[in-house]
Amino acid sequence: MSAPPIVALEVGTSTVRALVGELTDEGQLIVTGMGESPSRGVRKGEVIDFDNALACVRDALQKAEDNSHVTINAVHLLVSGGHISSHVNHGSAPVLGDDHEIGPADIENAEKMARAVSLPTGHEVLHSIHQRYLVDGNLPVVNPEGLEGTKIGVDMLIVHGQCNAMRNIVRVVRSAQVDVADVAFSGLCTALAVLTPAEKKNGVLMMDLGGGTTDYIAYAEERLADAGAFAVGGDHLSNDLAFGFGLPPSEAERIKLEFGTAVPDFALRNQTVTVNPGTGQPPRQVRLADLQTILHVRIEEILVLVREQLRQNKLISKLGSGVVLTGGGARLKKVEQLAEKIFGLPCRIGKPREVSGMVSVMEQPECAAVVGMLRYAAKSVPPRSGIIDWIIKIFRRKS
Amino acid sequence: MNASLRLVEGEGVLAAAAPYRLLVLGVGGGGCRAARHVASLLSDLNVAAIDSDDQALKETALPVQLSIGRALTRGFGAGGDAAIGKVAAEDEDVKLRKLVEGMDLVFVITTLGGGTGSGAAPVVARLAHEQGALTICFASTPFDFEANRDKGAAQEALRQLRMHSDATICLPNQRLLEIVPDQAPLKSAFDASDHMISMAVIGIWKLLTEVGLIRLNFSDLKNLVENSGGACSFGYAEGEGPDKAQQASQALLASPLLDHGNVLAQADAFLVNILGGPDLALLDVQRVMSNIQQVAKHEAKVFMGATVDDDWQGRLMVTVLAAEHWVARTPLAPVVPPPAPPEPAVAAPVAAAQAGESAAVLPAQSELVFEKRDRGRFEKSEPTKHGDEDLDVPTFLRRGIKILSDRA
Repeated sequence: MSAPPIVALEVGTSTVRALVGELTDEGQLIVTGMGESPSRGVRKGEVIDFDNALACVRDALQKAEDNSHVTINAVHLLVSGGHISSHVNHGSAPVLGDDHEIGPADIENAEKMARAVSLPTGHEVLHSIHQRYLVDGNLPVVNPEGLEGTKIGVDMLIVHGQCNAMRNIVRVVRSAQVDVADVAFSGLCTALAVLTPAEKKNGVLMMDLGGGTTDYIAYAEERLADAGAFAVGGDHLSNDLAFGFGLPPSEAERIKLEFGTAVPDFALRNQTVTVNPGTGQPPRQVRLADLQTILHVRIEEILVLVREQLRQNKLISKLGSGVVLTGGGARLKKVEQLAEKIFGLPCRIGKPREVSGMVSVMEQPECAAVVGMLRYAAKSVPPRSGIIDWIIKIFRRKS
Repeated sequence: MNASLRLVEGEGVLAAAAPYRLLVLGVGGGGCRAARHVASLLSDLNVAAIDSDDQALKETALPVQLSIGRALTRGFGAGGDAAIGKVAAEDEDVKLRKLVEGMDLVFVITTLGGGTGSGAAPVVARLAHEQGALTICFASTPFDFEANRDKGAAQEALRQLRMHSDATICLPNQRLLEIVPDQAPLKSAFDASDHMISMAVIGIWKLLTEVGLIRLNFSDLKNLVENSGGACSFGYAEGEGPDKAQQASQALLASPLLDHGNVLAQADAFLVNILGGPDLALLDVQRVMSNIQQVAKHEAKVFMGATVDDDWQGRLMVTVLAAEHWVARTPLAPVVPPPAPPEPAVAAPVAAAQAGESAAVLPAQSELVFEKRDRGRFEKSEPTKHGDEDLDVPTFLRRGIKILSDRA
């Protein structure tokens, strides 16, 4: 038997999803089981109703256990939410020792300085990812170890989020009698699952159009350049329809999936769609043109939000490989077309790569994040950042 | 002192033409261009150009020109900044008031998305309205490809116009792309836009002045626009030959200006004018009306007119002005909505500040106020704010996009 199975858990806004996978000795990722449960109690990636969320987590884990025939003791947990954002921090340290040869200790010192950031109150570091090293302030190098210099500098991307929001999700999972082995930003995991090495090298923007949040990750100049999330997503699309047509959420969701498109189709403008308002009201007709317009302006707004964020950091021109869309929102018809127009870059739909096992998983953009988490967990025995250890410790102590 | 004063000196010229004293004002570069187009089509109209760019103003070659914001821009234009356009117009408050004084009807023509049009037009409209003229604005919104034009500012300006005028007819340029062939030179797209505005102005002007078989008068127009809730749509179509009535009404219903007939189908009230030559037959009128009425709501209020013009022998034009809402106006409705929470800065406070004393006096138009609705799905979550916008509020509501389907 190879390494023990890994379980990734995503407590999403529309779905709670647990994925069980194994890494073979050859480094191949095999998915052996999955459990999904429609999510209740989560909005915009954050827990708003503890009991409902817990029930959904239990349900999803149970299904995953039945499915994969393993007992789940610990999970690798994905987090998202509008509170997650990132910024670049620089740290530097003098090279110690008489020979001025850079050793691991020097690099570590510099990294330590780069990790020492001042964050908004209540925020903690979720990931710190090194971007590049600078020796004596000169051109960046990939690996400074063994080079000579007097000063070593490092740029790090610090991904941080609000403590309370992340702790709430961990609490829910812990209450389901399962350990949390690790916590990672879902955008980062999704990028691991869908982006090719070439895309990361040329520069790419990955957007995970989720139910409650839109996560984004940008690679530029061969490094992770930006990461974050906005608390708008597919839920908002449905909610806009529900409001515009006076429909219950479930019916709004249905017409979104059935008739939704990101770019209005003029040929169909005069058609109507029958909707069922429920609560004893008779079915009625709504205009397809209205439906498409409502969705178009919302999805356009979301994409523009991300574009403006990247513009601020002057990244748009560095995305040689264009835009990759994934998550449930990537299923919206013509969404690539709209993204191409808004970003002025080629766009593709990203699905989990290099996975074997359950075929259904590979075909679904929604599964990208959990697949990425399996890879993240399998590859790295990551040096845990402070918060995660701390959160986990707190709960260990209690239980 | 300069050309702008000529108007005031030669008032007699303006007053002569018609029973209604009408003034057409082009505001901003695009507005002036369209105004010039109007003047070239109808010579007996009083047309004036208002711009902050002296050079552009000169090119319009209109008899009455008013340069605004000299102190601010030194006559070089507002540079796409609506704030400058607004201040420029406010600076010329006295001259502008003089310009519109004594008018019964003022048409303000502008293209939104730039500086002078977006900023100055609402001020001009407000002043005209304050001077007692029925003020109708014709505003075109930019084509999607006009990246240099700020669409957000255009929407905001449109809202301001609707608030300060009796009615604003919005002519989205983007709809024109369906008419202009793909291969057409770029200029023709803008020409089409100018032409569209001109036709709207002329159509309404004709309806008021020409000899009518069935006469529509000023009070009909006033009635329609004052109760329209501020938003009107305009459409027109022509027909020629023996089949002209059928042709024109079909073209009208297929016209993208009226959203392929949807605007008519949804309108609560509309005004139809049929313009024809001396050969205009009762049957033609009947045909057009029955075609329109087939599409329209049963309970829709219809004002109808037919006019004859010798130039139109053998031809026929149908013009439609549709009010999307019919709100019987309550006189002196409160202008500022009851203590609005600091929502996405609804234009009301701005308007109140800007309108100053006038806000209290004018039965200003009701503005689309965001219903303070329960937050539904997002009730228990932190509102998603971006800048000063609440992203949980549907985008289409924030942008003022009208949904024509019935709600419940």
